[in-house]
Amino acid sequence: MAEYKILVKYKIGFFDAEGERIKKDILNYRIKKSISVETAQVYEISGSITFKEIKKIAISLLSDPVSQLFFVNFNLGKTKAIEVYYKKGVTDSVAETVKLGIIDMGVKKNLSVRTGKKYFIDGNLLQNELKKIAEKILANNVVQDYKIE
Amino acid sequence: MKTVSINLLNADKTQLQKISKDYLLSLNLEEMKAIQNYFQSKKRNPTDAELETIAQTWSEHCKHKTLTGSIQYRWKMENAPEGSPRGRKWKIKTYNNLLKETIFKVTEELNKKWCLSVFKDNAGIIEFDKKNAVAFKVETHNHPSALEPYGGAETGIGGVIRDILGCGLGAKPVMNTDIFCFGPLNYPDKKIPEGIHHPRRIYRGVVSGVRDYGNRMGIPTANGSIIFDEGYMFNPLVYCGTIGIMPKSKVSKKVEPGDIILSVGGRTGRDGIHGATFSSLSLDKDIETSVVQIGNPIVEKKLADTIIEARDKNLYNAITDCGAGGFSSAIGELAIISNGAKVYLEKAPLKYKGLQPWEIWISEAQERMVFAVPKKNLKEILKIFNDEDVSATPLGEFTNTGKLEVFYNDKVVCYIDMDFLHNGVPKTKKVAIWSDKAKSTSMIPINTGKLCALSKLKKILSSFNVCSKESVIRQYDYEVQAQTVIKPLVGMKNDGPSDAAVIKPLFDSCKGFVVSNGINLYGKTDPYWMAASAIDEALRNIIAVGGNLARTALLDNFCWGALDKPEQLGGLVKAAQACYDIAKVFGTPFISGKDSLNNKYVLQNGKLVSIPPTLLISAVSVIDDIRKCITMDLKKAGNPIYIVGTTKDEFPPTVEPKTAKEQMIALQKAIQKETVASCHDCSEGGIGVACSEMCFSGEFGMEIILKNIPVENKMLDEAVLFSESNSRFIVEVKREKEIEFRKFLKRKIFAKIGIVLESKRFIVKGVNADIIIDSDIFELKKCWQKTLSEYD
Repeated sequence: MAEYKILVKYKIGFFDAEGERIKKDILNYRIKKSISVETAQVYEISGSITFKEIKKIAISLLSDPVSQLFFVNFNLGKTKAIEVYYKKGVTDSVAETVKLGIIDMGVKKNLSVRTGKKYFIDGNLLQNELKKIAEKILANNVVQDYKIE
Repeated sequence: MKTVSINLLNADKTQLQKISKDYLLSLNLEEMKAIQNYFQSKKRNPTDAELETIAQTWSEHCKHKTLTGSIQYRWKMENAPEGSPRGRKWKIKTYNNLLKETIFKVTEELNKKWCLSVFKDNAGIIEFDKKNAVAFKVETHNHPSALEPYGGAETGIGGVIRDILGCGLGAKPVMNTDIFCFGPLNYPDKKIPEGIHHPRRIYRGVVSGVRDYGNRMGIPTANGSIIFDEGYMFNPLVYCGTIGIMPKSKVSKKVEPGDIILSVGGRTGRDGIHGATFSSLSLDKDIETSVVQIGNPIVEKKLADTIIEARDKNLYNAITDCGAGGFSSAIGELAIISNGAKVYLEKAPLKYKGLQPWEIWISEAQERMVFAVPKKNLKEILKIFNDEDVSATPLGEFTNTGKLEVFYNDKVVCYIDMDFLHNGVPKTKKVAIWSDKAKSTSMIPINTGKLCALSKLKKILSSFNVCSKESVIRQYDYEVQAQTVIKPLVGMKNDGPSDAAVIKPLFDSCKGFVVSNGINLYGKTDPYWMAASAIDEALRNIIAVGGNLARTALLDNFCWGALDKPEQLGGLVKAAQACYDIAKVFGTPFISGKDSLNNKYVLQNGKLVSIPPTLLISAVSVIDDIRKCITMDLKKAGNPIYIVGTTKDEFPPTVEPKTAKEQMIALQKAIQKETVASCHDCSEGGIGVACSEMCFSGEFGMEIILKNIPVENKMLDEAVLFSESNSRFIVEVKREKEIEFRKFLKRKIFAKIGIVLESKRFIVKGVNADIIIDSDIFELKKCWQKTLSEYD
């Protein structure tokens, strides 16, 4: 059994539309600080799978080599970040499709997949401001949990 | 895995009510007593699955108890003249079935041959051409969207698409339409109560959900509307509609005893349990989270493609979608046709282990359909699904025993008489009250303050309800399938507001259909004129692009608040009565509808907030030649501008259906004979807004003289300019065809009010011929465009 956390984000210079939208939302909530927001898609894949296979999956299924970079089990601990995942029991449609995609690639293994979002927020924000951003903008506590890093 | 027997036989009143509450059944005491009586006659207690099945089948969501129940309607006219004998006395009218006596009655009395299937299937179906039919359905998904806007809107869209796939023997979805009502986006954050999402968040989530599901399904979202009002703060409205095309030979289903029950599509999980009964409750802070779901459009897309293939090979007898109530409703409804079914729940494919039999039976997990397949075709149909990786599992078979029998590993989970299940619900008896407030003649809501006409025009153009919805529309793929002839955005820069969408669904025919909608906020003042105005607006939009009134059908979607209050129900009765009165005269039958009747929210202090009474009217019109269609942007300098219809000083606006119909038919002819260059419906913001929009969409100027506008009484400049009277069109007539145009409109109320200018200025001369507005059209456009773009 191995567990991998794959993080896919835009390369520098590519427009991160979602990040820009969230920035606007944060300003709408009267947090008037100069901030930057970067978004990343997170895939947690576990099962009897090798690093080589994971790399192949990340390159050809989960990321776009032209505009995106991916990181496997790598901590981008540079800024404050908020991770958002679906709660247990909520259908994770993206994960279902990833599972099918992996099988279609020829990796016929029984894997468990969970997907989430990670938002890197730079701008010297206070803990309660991050909490507000997480609850009011990024995660809906009806179906999602969040974690501030 | 176990089935629990619930002690109903010896329960007293309070215990019955407690059972209904504890199991979230949303059944009232009378209904619980009917169930008790039934099981007393069977000399046993019901199982949890049986109680759940009855609750789902009898839910307001599935059965429309209020609209089909008996209503004693009492009303009086406060403004009746003093001396009139019956004047201000209470009058009483009893409806045994409001829906049958108003909405259905229009369709019945009009008896149009081109209505192929009305009010009985998942969608209304009308004739398109000799071989094909068009199916149209609009649903609401309000409560889920309030809690989880993205998932709620997604599953709303997914559900209505499945209604189209599951009507008759299945239609191919060709267009989506989406109408939303939200709280104001600039509402102060601090005033939002705990547990409520800000309208901004709901707005964004809903739009993203519709975008992601609709676009991934490859269905163009080509029509819609958004209105903002504080009344929708706690309970937004999300209407999702889909139109499909199907062969005329496939509009009806049958189910033979012995047909296999085949479940196709997604797996069953614990999601969406109690959705049907939940939608019959009011929202409050502590609602279960299992009712909220996330959609999976990829699964549904595969489902849609395989259904059409299996349909064209005639491999099944019936199909329906698993919506509210899950298997219990879908199988239960098909079982009516054969009069019984046997279901083996252990066969159902699950998302995860640990579901109780009753949970499998009523789960509303998305992207599932149920088929009735003759045994001999089973192998072939399974192959079609397997080839496309669509899961398909036989769950049992349809019978003619008159019983709904459900098993789990040979244990009986549910054994109920079909007759009791579908006809045993006690009829509701309700009281409705309405008293007409005195109607003032001049109530156009413009404050006659110091602002000049131009500032007012700019203010209206930039208001949430009038401003450009481009930032939303652009997120939707309205071109996919390459059949969208008139798009939601039109004009020189493709950013003008189109009145309706036109789709050409067959590649080898120029026939097409027009889709439009009508919705407004007048319900706060008068539900009768709200409904009448919605119908008039939907039809105006159809006519404005070149639709055919004689081949137009309507859909009704009532969204109401706390109907246990007689005054609220009184408003609903008035609106339903308006539907009959107005649609009957227009000659436009209703073909499908749906109601959502508990749109209220309980605040923490216990105060109950109802939404403004809201009726969405959707219209679809079949046209012979899409090449005759026109758009609303001005086309050529020098063309004369006409107005059709009377401008009145009134609020809410009324409708004179007979006059309106004659005007529409005359204008329709004028458009058919190609005398009209552009035409725009005159609604919110009146002539001022309609003309401005035509100018900046076509990038021409316009000069109009208010003095020439036909009015009912003498009116002030601004009243003429901004009156929202119904049944009016602004028409740009081709200069060389002006005489011909006037002939078509002969004896109708119409007038020449101005001319298209080469200069980019919008000039309005008042009733005294003095210039009251002279503005650059791009300046007006800027006001109109900036509002929503701030909330991208």
